[in-house]
Amino acid sequence: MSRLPSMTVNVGINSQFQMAAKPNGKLVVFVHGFGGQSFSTWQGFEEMLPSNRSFQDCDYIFFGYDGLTTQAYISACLLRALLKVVVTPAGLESLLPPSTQKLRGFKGYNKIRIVAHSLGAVVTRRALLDLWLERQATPSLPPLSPLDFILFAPAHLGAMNVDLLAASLIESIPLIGGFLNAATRHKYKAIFDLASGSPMLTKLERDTELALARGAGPLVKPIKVVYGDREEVVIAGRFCDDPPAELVEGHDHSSLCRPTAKFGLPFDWIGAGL
Amino acid sequence: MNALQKANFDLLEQQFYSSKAKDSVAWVNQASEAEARQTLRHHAVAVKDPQEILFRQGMDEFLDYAGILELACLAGCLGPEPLLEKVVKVLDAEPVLFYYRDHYPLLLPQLLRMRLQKKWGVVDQDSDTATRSFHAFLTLFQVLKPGTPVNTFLALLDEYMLRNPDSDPDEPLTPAFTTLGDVVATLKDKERLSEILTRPPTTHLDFGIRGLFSFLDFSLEFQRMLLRMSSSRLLLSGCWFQCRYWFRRFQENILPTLSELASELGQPAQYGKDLATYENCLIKILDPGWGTPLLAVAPPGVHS
Repeated sequence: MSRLPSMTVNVGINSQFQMAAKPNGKLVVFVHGFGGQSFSTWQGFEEMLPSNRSFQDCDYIFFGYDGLTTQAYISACLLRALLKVVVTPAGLESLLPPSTQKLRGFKGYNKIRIVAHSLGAVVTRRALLDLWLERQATPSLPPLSPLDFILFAPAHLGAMNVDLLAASLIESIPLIGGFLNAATRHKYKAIFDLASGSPMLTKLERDTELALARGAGPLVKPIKVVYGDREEVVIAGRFCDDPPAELVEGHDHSSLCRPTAKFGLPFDWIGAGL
Repeated sequence: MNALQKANFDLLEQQFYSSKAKDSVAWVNQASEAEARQTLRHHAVAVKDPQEILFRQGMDEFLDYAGILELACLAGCLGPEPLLEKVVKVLDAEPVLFYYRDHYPLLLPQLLRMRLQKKWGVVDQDSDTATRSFHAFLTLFQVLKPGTPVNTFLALLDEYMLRNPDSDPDEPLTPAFTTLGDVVATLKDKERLSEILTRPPTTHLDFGIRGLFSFLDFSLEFQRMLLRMSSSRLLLSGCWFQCRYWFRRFQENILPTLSELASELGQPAQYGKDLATYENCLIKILDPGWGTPLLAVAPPGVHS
């Protein structure tokens, strides 16, 4: 059905809230990865989502953050700040003009699904963990809307090799990547976070295990993990109690999250059970 | 105007009618015609007064907003209803008209004015596709909005000198202003460029440099979008007019530097390939053929 022009959300970098005119109470949040941007990582989604039946009346947020020069933990804090707004019944509605609020008749989300790629998986896991920890510390906080997450080529076990990761910049942000020499590219803080065994990843794993033991459930355990068989940027493997990953033939680190007319699987994964 | 159109209008106003634009509109509404005409003159008569610069920037932002409203009308998301009247009052003011029709011809604000005068009422045929295309364009266009790094870069590209808040007359390392020349000089200084690109941006120069690279990404996405929008030819043409000015300025002022750098620095093959991709993209975008569908049906008397 009808959709409305997107709205910039003042959390992160160029985060965009895309609204259905008559929302069905479902929200999909997209979180890009290392060197990505709110939309470019998800090429194909943004143009094909509105015409896909399963998603027509959903709201989406394309969350943007600095996946290069900002530490992953800081980006996780930003994502958590955004999630804290959307999980309340008022959601982002209070930021909309009255006529838009009236048209939408929004009553709160009955399902929020986060879809994260690469470094975005680390950012998302940390944000959700901290959201859960906050509620453990302060039980009087309002309950969260039903929330789950799906990970595409997650970097939660680190990068295969930080040189490769740095070199991947050339692909993800072509001209900048070309301008910088290898030594300079290693100065990116996000690369430090993605080194295998980095303090960020070690703590994430330890906290996830503790949270799982204390029944954190869907906030720390993804419903799906997907890798392409040509993955060569991140270390593919099982993290804590995650479900075994699904493998997609013929796809690499980036193409995995770019649906096309011939590659519709990402829509099926995200739409399942939404 | 139905509830959906009203919601569309209010959202567009919230997203694209900047406070600086509102200030300029308020100023034009109360200024004498002579005063407004003097402020909104062609820049052949130099514009140096900071207040004048501010009003002109605000007027440019207002005209961007007017362009978006015309695109919304073309896509069938808005009708020429009373809500738009407050926009046309400004577009009708003689000094403003001179500014966007004669000094710096912008097609979309002229069409919006004619639409409100009932001299132009064209809407793209397939409204569902056009609406989707319009939303896709808006999403892309968000990176050019005031307050973004690209917007800082575009201000520099438009020859604005941005005052550096921390400048100190006794400290020559922090100049009073940042200009496009600083961006170009930084592009040629690999060490400085690397330093800027590997830390969070804080200064006008940092944002200008980031904005330049983001503008290149915007160009690639914009070209892809134009190719995708082939079934909404009028809207596609309108989107092209909304951005054409910036691509022209980029071609004139930055592209030669990037090409020069590629050959001077003996860049690796990958860099040359990427640069060629961007160059080709800009050449394709600048093809005046994109503007033909709209110009072919536009009423006589519009300046483009």
